[in-house]
Amino acid sequence: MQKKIADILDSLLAMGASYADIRWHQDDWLQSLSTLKGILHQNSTRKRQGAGIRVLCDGAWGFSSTENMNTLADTAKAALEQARSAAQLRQFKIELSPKETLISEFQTHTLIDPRTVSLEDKMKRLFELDQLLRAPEVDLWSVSFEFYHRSIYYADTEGSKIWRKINDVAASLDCSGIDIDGLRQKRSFEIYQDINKSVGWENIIDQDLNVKASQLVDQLKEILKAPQCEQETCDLVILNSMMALQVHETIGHALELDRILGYELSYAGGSHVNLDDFDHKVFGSKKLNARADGTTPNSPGTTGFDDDGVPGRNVVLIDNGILKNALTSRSTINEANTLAKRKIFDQSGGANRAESYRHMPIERMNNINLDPGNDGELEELISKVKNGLMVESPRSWSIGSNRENFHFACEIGWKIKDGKISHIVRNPTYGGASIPFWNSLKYVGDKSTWRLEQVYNCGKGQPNQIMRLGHGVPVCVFENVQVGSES
Amino acid sequence: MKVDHQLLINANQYLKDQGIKGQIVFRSERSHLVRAGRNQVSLNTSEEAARFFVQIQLGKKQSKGEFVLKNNTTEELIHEIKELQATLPLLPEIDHLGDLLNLAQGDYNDDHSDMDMINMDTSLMVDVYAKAVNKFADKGCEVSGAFSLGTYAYSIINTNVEQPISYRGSDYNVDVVLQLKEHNNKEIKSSQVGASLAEINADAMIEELDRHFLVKTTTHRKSVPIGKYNVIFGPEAVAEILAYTSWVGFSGESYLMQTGMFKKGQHDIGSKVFGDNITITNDPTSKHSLFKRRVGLNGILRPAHTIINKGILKNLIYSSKDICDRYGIVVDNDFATASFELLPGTGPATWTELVQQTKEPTLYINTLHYMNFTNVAKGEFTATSRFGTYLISEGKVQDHLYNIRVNDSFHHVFNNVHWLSSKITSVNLSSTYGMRLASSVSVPEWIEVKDVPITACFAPELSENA
Ligand SMILES: [Zn+2]
Repeated sequence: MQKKIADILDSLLAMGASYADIRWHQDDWLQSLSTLKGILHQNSTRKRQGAGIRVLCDGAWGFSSTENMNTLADTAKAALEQARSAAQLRQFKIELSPKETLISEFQTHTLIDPRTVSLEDKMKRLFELDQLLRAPEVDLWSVSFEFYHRSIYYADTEGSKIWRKINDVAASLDCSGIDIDGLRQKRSFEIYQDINKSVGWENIIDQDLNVKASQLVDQLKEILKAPQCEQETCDLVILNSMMALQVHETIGHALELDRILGYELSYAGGSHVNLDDFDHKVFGSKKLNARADGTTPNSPGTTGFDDDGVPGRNVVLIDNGILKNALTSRSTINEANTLAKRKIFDQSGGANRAESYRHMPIERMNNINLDPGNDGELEELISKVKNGLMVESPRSWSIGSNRENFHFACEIGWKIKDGKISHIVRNPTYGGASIPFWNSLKYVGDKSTWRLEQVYNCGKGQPNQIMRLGHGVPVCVFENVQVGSES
Repeated sequence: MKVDHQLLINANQYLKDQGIKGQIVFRSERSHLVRAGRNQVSLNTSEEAARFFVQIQLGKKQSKGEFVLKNNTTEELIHEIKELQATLPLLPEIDHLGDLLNLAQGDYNDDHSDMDMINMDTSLMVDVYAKAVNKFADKGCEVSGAFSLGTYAYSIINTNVEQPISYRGSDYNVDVVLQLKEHNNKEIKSSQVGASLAEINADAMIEELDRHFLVKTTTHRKSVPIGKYNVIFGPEAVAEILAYTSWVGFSGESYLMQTGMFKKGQHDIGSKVFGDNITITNDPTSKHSLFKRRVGLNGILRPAHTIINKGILKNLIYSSKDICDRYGIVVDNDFATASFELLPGTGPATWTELVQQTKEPTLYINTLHYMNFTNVAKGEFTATSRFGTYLISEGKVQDHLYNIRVNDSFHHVFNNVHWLSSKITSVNLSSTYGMRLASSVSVPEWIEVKDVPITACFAPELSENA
């Protein structure tokens, strides 16, 4: 097949393409297992294969995919035709920024490959955790595991050849019950990763999950009878999974270069960031340091190379509050620099990623991380808050089309009074305008509060692509935030 | 791509010979998508896919798989089924597991696909954007959007029957968005959805954009104080509200599990849940239904359902086999192919009429962006306005507004509809061409809702309060 791919790439050049690449998913495997109320709910295995071909011709992109490898040559011709037809309405000729030609490979660091674990053992662990979520107050509960493996071969007309074997592991625990007002409340947990460990079945047998399951049930019991979160302006302590959402929605999406240029306008939206803003704009307080780090170990956002064949890089996005860089690909930085009439971006940030062989890669988050700060451990952060709220676990989110504002609801909140946790509150929500909000960042937790959260459901683009990525984030404290419990 | 029905019959026979119950679904698609941005085509893609979805059960044990086969042969399919078979002994029993669904049999094989879409020249799609660029580029606008079209098919067989049942269809959906670069990057949009190439009307889209362009460039942009307003929602916003309500309201499974907005004892079948002027159906035979699929993706016949009749809850939709089995309920529909319709009223049928009859200050919201539930149990949602937010009063569009945030509940909305337009329109719900399956809802072109809470206005000078 590698020979066939090389021949097709050669033939595309011969037919007039200026560049082409092929991503062949030799093996695209997904196993989903879940329980619902103590009974097996989902047990399915998905096996796919296919290839996506991307062709640059007359300065425009064409893309075509197939699941039938017997017709790969026809798919290549279709992609070339798409590029020619796209070139009929072109204002700016796409020129790829240079990259190194590489013959290389990447493999997720896995101790126990989930594909080698028997279904019996998987069921045993699933139901063991399910059992821990049972309680009289809990009327709905579930445990789910998802194991994902992809073997991908990438080759392009510049001579790069890259082999990747990628494993992802997800697991979540959910429990819910009816509160004192007759309304449903939920607590959930999704596993995160440790940059010093590995990604595999070992994540699932980790006993921390047992502790987490019991904690969720205890917290739910308290939420069911807790008072509503009061509407006020106060300090807000945001724990990791909620911080991941905050970073994701108001930094990550806002800094995708295709969005900034206007290529996502009709669907996901634009960005409040302009090309003029780089190197000048005060995005947040001096405590804010953010990166797009394609090298964070053990994250679903780390795949060795992006789908331009560019190795993962660690790019500083925001340096002491000042906007420095964006999520970039080979296709867009030349256009952005030309429009800005200055060299904002010197090379691709390696963030051009596709959900699968069926999709054209576009600028996507890899790992949008915040550096840990110097304001102490969680207890110390809480002790600095006179009147505040601490929140965890996204329940709902809605964000303005230019990422300029947001409204989030959380599963759980804790009222903080005089540096101590006072009680749990129900239905906490908070919202704000993105830039003023990041400028109200008051304290950033130290390394002990930093955690690598996994995100499995980031949607963007047309056709819509659901992407896996990571957010390494510390616990942070913001001042003067509008909180409440109203919807 | 056509599936050889004999292949499905052969694999089904294998299951029968093994004494196993099972169901095999074949799905295929061929799609094109053109995306535009900054007055040019930024992406032109095509895709073909063909997959098998197999579910087998033996006693109270069940296993499922999804496969792409190299050559689509009986041998390959049976090989995958055997692998699933081997997992059965390792699985726990599912006590509530019921028999397979009764598939439709007989004259229900429909073909509504527009064959012109299969190997079409995508220049036709590019032309829609070229027209918009010609019209608006020299007025300081940047054109963007996405145009998706394609054909799809599904065939289903199970061990209760001898013959597969199948459906083939096609659809298109297109958006054209203008960003008014010389007018503070304001945005306007026009959309269309349909089932065949011949229905595409680029000129109508240009006209609609022109109408919004005029409002945005001849009125001032203002902010409004937060508070309650009467709001006229445009078709995209009404469709969004209806779609979200259907997920948390009309799904029988969420009612059974009490994870939705209708509470047992309070919102049971036969109770009054919405205002008298609200009737909502799920009717594949309706003349307004764009994709008239008599058989769902699960292979069962889809009856015409009235969900809400004059505010009274009449039916819910049951389509998840596992949840229905748990509660001993019969699956009676397929949510994936549902065709909801909010019946029209006697309100204005044209934009001019609408504006002329609006005397009191009223907000107009064209589209609701990024809707999400803030509290499902109460049917509460939030979203921001987009692609046109106006203040209308004294029979005139007075101003256009900064985007605003709406925080309301579906209960409140559908109990406070002042009027519904007499004109009905279809709105696309399948914004992606994933494994293509067309979806749309039919709604009145406009509805007016009283006392909608507006909780933020995103004018720059107010941003610290937003
Ligand atoms: Zn996202």
